[in-house]
Amino acid sequence: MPAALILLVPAISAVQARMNRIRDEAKLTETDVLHNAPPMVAFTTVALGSFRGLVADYLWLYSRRMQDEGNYFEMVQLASWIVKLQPRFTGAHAFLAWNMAYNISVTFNDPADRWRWVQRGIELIRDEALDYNPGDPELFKELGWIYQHKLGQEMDDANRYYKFQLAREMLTVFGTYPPDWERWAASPPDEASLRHALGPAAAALDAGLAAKGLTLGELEKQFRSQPALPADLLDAPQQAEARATVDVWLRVRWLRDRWKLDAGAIRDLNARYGDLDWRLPEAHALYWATKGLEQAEDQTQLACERMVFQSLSNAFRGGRVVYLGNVGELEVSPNTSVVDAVNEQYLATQGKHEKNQSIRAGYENFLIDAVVTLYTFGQERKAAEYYGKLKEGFPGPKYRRALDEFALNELAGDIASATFDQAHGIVQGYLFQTLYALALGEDDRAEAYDRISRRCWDKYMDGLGSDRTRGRRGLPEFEQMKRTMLKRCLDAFPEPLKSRLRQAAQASGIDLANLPEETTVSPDAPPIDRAP
Amino acid sequence: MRALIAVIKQTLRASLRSHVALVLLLLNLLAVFSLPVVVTGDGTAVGDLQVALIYSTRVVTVLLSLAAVWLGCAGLSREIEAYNLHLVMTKPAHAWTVWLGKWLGVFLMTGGTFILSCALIQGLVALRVNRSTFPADQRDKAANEVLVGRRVFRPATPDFKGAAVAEYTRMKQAGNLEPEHRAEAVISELERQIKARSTEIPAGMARTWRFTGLRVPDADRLLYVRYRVHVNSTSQSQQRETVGNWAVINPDAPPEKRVAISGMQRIMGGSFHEFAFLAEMVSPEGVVLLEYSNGDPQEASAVFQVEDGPELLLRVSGFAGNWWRGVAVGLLRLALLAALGCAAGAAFSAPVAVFVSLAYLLLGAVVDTELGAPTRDAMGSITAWTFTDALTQVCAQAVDKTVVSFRAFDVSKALTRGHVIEWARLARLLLFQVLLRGGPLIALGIWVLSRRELGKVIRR
Repeated sequence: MPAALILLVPAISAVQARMNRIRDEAKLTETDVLHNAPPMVAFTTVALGSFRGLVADYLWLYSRRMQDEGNYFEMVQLASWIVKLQPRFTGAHAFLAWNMAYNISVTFNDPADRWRWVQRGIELIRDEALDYNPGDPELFKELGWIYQHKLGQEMDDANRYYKFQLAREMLTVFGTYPPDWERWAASPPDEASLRHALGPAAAALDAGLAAKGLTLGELEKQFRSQPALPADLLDAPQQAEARATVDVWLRVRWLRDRWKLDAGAIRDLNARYGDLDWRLPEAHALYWATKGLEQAEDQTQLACERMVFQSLSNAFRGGRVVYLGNVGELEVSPNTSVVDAVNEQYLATQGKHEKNQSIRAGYENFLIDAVVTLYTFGQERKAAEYYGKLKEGFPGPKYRRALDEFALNELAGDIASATFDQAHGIVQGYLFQTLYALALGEDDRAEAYDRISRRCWDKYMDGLGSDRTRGRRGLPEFEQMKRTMLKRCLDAFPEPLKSRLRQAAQASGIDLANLPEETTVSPDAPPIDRAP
Repeated sequence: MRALIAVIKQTLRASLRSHVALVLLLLNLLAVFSLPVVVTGDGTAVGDLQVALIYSTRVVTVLLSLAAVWLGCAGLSREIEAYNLHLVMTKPAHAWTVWLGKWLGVFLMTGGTFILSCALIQGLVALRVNRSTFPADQRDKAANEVLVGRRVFRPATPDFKGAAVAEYTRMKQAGNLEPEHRAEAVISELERQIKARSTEIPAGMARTWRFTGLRVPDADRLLYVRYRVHVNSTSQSQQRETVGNWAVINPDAPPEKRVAISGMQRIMGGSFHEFAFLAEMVSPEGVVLLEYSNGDPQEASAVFQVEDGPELLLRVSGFAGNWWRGVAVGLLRLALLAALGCAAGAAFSAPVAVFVSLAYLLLGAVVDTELGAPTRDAMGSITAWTFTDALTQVCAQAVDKTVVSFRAFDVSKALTRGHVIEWARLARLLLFQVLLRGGPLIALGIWVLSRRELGKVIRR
């Protein structure tokens, strides 16, 4: 017995040190004062002392049982309580959010039900866990992951519904797209600053509000359910600027309160990476990954860096909304303006993690995509530049062919195995070439490109097989894509080309008066689900 | 009677002077007003309503149960310790009058508060429903699934034992069994296999469930089918979408009206679903058949566990009626808890009485756990059978038969699922729990008080 004791005491000592380390790493013995905590959390963390761990354990077990029984209605409340009882245990918060966004959501057939659970997962991290752990890189990473993977990728049958609803909700906050980010970033932070910024118009605002029996706070509340200022508020021509200032002020605050997005940070990210489309999940993933990078170390840092370049890469492939319509009509297009930023980000990360082969492989894939996409969208000089980078960085026989041959060969191979975004980009690229040729008066070439684009669309859609896969990855109708591209070309081409294209389109019987607007939402679209 | 009323009045006054009871009652009021408004559901009308109902009723039940036990324990024991009861006992008041007066006083106090709380909860929940901004379809769903009392019908259980015996006989006659086999063991194994097969529907096959005894007042009424199907196995992590077809069959209808088919539909495995059909599909004898055809594209089996249905739900009452029957169940629980407290208070000092009462309640909870311990698998086969297991099981079953089972009084799940709380259930609780098990408790309390030598109690 004494011998056993002699052996066990040092063994306990060794285990104790390890246990203490685990407790520290998991933030189970956090003794810091909890900032940003509501009174309820402050009370429970102090009043229950160590017993709150037991209560949290019980709630955890109870929530598992409820989930096994298919009783999900309590899960949001239980998760919220667990977070409040263990406000520093970020691993548990991330798990609970992931459980709602991934495990519970897929137990429902209806995309609207799934979207609701994905939202609850996002809200748990964004609105609760991050409130108690501001700046926690792990939470930023997990939040970004839900945007990047759950919403951005195609694994979930309802991914297009998620993208559509996110785009629609963001559009509701933005009003028109894109917002003037400089103006949004410079919007006054509070009511006093707003009044100062309005100057003499502040009195007119107060008078207008008083006439309606509203305070500014009540106006703000009303604005969030009906996002437009009352028509007769600050309606004199000389008050247009003041009206716009109030409108932006309300929207910036809404963006910050509901989405926890800072307009200044968005402006900076746009300046750094190019004009990102903030209606799409890639931009959100990038936002949270960038936030995570500010504090991250080791593995979390690598994960955030990976998320940054992957999100940028995704934004390049399909990071611009060109038509919203309804769920099945959501149309995105490559965002070629971010290509250099993606390239730089890959190179920077590769430089930091030279031995990481997966980053190198990802970079090669991105360069191939960049060459093909730029080529099909008529940016042949830029495509040649990126083909040069590909040849230089990855010498080998595969990249010795001429640019034309390489791009066309890749396109032919790509379409059968393409992702939704890639297929979108390829078809749109050929449609762009069709319309560009038409604008130049090269009708034969236009006809050839038109045939190829139609064939690509058919080949991709035929390859999807079942209705279920078509629902998850299917492209919008070909004619819709063509009309959307025509609208974009008419908006973008310089005048002589624009006129010629207009004439050619009219000659082919296209009704130019009814081209789709990118921000149009179909009246049949499902309603926006408001958080409880 | 005057003595009884006097004791009841005195108990009510003493209850209001008890700090612990007052704190519990105040917490109760706080919970009643805050919980239905504060708790968050899953963002649907149904979820919000369910979460408001379940938390409100549970918290109120727990707080008032504690209050009933405390008042029962402290009311009697403190008066004995303070020699107040000595004076009462010298008057022409029987011990049973005093005990009953205490019990009724505690019950009236907590029961009255319970009724008031439940009325407030009902009002606040109605307010929450009326003021909610949920779309009409969600509100309708809440009205059909929660704000209702639906009777649950389960399919007739097949005669597994009979089928096993028939199979055993066939095997024996065919000479497929070892000569020295144990008949009981073989039949038991065959029964297990038949049960296991009955939960599984191979791809391309169908299974029929027969429901009998359906009493539907009119043919236009909707009957709801609630079920959960698992794909391939019951592992929750491996669930995916499957394809199946439901057919509702009226066995007595002419051929053209005999079957109503849903058509092949996509169904998410592992989660509960509901669909409705018209009661005209029920035969005049109250029989209807449900048939599920498994059309899984990957040819996986569909698994219907016994507890996952399908079950038929028929609206037989509104929410208010169901709610107040639930309140009546809660009142029976409070009556028993007050009796438990008074019985313990008659025998022991206040702290010991509370300890004994809580131990009694804890025993009931432990018995639940022990009885639910997996000594038998889902098919009923014994998986662990040591002597200790057997002894513990026997003890647990004995305790379960004699101790009041408070889990039988939990109606919160039924209320949140819109299941009707039957009058028959109330009657069973009254007879088997309150009278047969609570009765001896009351008798014991009275007997202890009448036999206790109060003069021996030392004033502290």
